[in-house]
Amino acid sequence: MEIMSINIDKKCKNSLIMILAAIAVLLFPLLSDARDPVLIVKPEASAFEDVKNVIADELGDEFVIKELTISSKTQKDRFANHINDVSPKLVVLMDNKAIGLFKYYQSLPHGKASNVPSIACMGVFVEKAISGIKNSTGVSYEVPPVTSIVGLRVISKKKISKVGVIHREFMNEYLKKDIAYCKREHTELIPYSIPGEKNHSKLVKKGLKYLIKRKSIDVLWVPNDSALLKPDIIKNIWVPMIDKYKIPVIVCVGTLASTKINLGSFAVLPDHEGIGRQVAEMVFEVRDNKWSTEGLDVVPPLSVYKIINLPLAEKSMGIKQGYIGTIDHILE
Amino acid sequence: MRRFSNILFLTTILAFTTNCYAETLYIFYPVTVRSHILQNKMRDACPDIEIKLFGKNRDFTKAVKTTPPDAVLSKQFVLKQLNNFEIKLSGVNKGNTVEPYVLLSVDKNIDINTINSTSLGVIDYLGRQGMKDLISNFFPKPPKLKRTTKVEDLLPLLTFNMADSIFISKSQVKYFQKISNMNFVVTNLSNVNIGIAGLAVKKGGTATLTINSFKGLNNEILSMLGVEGWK
Repeated sequence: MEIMSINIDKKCKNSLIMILAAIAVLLFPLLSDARDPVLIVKPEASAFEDVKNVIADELGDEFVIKELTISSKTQKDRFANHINDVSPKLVVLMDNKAIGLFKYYQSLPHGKASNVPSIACMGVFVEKAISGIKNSTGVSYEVPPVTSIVGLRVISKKKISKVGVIHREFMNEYLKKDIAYCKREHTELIPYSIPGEKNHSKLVKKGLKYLIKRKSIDVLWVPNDSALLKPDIIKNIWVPMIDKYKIPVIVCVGTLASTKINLGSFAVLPDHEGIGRQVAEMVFEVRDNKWSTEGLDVVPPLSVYKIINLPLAEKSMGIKQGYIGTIDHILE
Repeated sequence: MRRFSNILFLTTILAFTTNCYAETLYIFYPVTVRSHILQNKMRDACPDIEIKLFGKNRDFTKAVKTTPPDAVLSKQFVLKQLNNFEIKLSGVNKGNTVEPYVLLSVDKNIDINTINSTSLGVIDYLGRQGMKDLISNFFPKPPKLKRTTKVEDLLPLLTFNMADSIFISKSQVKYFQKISNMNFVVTNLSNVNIGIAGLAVKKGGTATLTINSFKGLNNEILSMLGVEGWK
């Protein structure tokens, strides 16, 4: 009797173990995170953190968000090892450093995630930066002139039909698209290309005279090119010429519209929250496209942040006060 | 003297820490002016009401769930999704509480029959799935959606060919025609009439102050909200 009871106990124990194991197997998919991992590669600064937070907020329900903070000291091989460890379904690359690291990763023969789609943002000329990266797309950081011109036109009393731009030769290709977009808005974007890397002061002055006096532009759009916006060129060429001819100027950096510098009457910057949302939306699109970026071109930022230097704007073009509500920040 | 100064000190602290507002109102209603402008105007018009403005559906729905207000202003189809709220006031335009919606495109007509092969820009009132469900009511074979949180951000979708058309109220066509010189084409949609703004009150509550304030809103604010009055 005693032997029988021991056998029955053993049988019960074994059955119990088998039942628990079966439950564990059935529950495991529910307990483990079945969401696809998205890796966000970003530098430390707060602007990138803001964009990352928006992306994480938008995607958090359906994706596991992993983050990798990089710096100028991040070594390529350590970066590659991290990607292999995380094994993401998609990578978001913020800034040109992140793009460069991923490009290197893709060149490695044994990169586990080398065909993984990537979405680049918050970099300089993202479209050019990601060329050579397989299965990639992005959101550019530069606000196209047409967006800024439309924003200015809403509040300007001055009619705007001709907009001049002084630029270095490398921008020639980019401006072709911009010229076409402006044409649809019945606005002529007139470029003045500066060759070479020397005599920028002299050439900017020549360009301004050409655009203002020969082409009779209504507004000047100034792209964010540090070579043409050195402090001495701003002080000695840009500001005096603009002041003399009272030309309204659209700039792409907030500081240039400050009342101390008085270069820009109007500044239009990309809205970081908007970029975050666009990137998140792109992640869904890539997923729906079977993790391929085919057919998904690099797109400009949709949402912008507008700043007006009110005294300068009043002087150069007059302001329709009824539309001041379209401006995010007014400098007085 | 010491007791008096202690009482005065405590009273001052209490005054600053206690919520002085009689009612709270949440607003989730994208308009063509910057949200802080609408918020400030509403605060001036409703000084005894704590007003919070939301720009994203996610933030709005979370706040309504966790700290429900006395009243909510939003589009009627948004309000109908809130379980514990009841619409008390409906915005009116030309005597109607609903308005027709259209497709706005540039340089080309949109064929409704093949809209599922196009992309459509929409303001994101209901989140990703919510907007898909809403648009499916109007287009059985729905288009691909491109969502924005601001009315003005619908324009660059057309400028940069990121969407074939945008889904807006007929009354908003004028706004886009005012800000852009592009060659717009309007495609009317038969039987797509959507409720304008609505004010919903928490069930069991009255939000009398908010309702009365809304009935007295000036024309400037009504115009921002795209209504002529309330019913």
